Amino acid sequence: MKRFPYLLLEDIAIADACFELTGDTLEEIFLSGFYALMETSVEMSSLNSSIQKVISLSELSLERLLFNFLEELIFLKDAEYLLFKECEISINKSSSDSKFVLNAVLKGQEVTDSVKTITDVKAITYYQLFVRKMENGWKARVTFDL
Amino acid sequence: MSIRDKAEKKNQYIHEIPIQHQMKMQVPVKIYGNPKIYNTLDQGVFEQIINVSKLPGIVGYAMTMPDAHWGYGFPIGGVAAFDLEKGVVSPGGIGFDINCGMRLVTTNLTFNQVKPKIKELMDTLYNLIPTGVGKKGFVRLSTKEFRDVSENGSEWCIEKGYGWEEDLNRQESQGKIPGADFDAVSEKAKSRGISQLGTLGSGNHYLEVQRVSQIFDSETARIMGIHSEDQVVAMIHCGSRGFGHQIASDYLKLFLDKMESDWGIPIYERELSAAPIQSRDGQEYLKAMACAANMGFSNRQVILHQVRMGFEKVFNQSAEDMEMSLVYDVAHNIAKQEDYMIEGKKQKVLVHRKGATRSFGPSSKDIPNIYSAVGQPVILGGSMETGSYLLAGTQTAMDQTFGSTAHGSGRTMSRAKAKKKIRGNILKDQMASKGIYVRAASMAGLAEEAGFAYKNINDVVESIHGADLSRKVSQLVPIGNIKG
Repeated sequence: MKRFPYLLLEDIAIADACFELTGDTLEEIFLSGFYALMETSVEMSSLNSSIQKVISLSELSLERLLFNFLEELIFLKDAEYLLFKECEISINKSSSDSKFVLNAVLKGQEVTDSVKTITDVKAITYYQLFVRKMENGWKARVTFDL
Repeated sequence: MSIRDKAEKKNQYIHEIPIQHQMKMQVPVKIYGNPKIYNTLDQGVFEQIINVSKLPGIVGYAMTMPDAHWGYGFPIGGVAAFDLEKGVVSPGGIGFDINCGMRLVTTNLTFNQVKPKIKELMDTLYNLIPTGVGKKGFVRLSTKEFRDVSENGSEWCIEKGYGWEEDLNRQESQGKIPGADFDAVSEKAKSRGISQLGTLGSGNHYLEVQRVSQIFDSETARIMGIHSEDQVVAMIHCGSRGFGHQIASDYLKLFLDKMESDWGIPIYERELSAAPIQSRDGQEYLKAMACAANMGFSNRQVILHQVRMGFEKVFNQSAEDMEMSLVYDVAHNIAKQEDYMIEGKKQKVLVHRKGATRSFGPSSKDIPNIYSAVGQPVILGGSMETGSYLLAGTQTAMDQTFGSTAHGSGRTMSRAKAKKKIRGNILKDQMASKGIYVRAASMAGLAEEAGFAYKNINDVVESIHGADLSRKVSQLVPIGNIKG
């Protein structure tokens, strides 16, 4: 499985967790965000992929799209007790309203005693949030409130 | 020269940054802390509190308490008050975990009575109180009941048998923030919160069984139910869970979209989003925030009920016989309307406390009669290794800090660095060798909360006691800890 890189910026927002996400494509940035969030919350090797969820979101700004995507994962953790091991994402720009449209297929399971959880991510924040196209790929920064 | 060096030293515990320091500052900044605290404050604290001082309608001073550290929007440990007509309300001035707070309950048991059973006690409590990521509460609520919880707070819990009648009077605002309206809360927030009543959560949230290690003021301690060293007490630290987190996120986003365009409020940092208090959106947020605050009080109330049950089971006595009275419940992430003398006139203001505790002094009308002579109990949670403090509110806090003081130790090391320095299982063994039995939902999460990741709580306490924002009453050290 391809590794989607993220880097924890240890000296920023020290009570919480600020991540730099990198990828060749926009989708890879979002996948890096997915892994940063899940690996903060749970030892992913303790999860199975028995439950599938589909998320569809659209936003004019990429920052808001990343924010809402990650927030949806937190929502599913609290409202449906779901944590995810796998994620497939596609992002396209709608020609009708210029919005970025995200479709994600998530696979994971409900939290049980066998799931090795770590820390609860309370919220996604706007602190230093950005998503940028670079010369060689994409870069983003996102901070989780823990 | 850095901002730190430019600030004017007013005395050993206070530095001030004048209004002339930066354009658009509406009020000066006041930073509390002894020289050691002041010299090690994060640069982010200075930048963030200066941003706060620029917000419309702020009155008096923008302030940081001695446990201040870098947050978003407001620094954690930030206090600011706003004029009700011209001022703003900021979700970033309250925090995502609305009404995160502390609760302290006494027992008449001694350390020697509890020590042989501490493992059984903590294991029993761990099984009674859902802890960690994604854990469901045991209280099953219909949507209508969740509305009742949100609008009535601890009252609902007492009516349903989760506590004693006397508990109500021993909570800030009697465990119910008025003006709560469930209709101001999103469906998403309701879905996140409805199954979480009575859950501890994770991160730095904990339930601790402690022994009284030192009494500084025996008369005040006696009034607060602390009678002798080696007496055993229990402390609860948690908040409004996903319900409050989602309410904060929802309104932060809404305000951010309207701040500049609709209200002409500059965005200094996106997490410092704010709305005019008198705007429709500002009022809706206050109604929703009150719901989250009431959930926070209720959450700690239900956990208190479980703590009493756990002690009853292990010690085979009733909670009443063990004199398990609530000392007090304090909120440290909240905004409240309160009256203060400002420039010689009594004025109602909206006080934001983000990682700051109310510290109302003697004779304040909003504290229980039993504490009228000594000031409200102030509960300061330390790291799980170093212990906590019980203090009393003061008139100085009423005069200088909108009745506010510190809330805890304040983190100085990132969670990642803490995890690199120690493994959770080693920390657990080290704590056991110091006589602290730990149950943790996660060993990695435990390592993040190691004592060395926090400021020395003694410096924080020395600062607030020295500045007379609160008076030391007793020191409490852990003997058992449940870490979320």
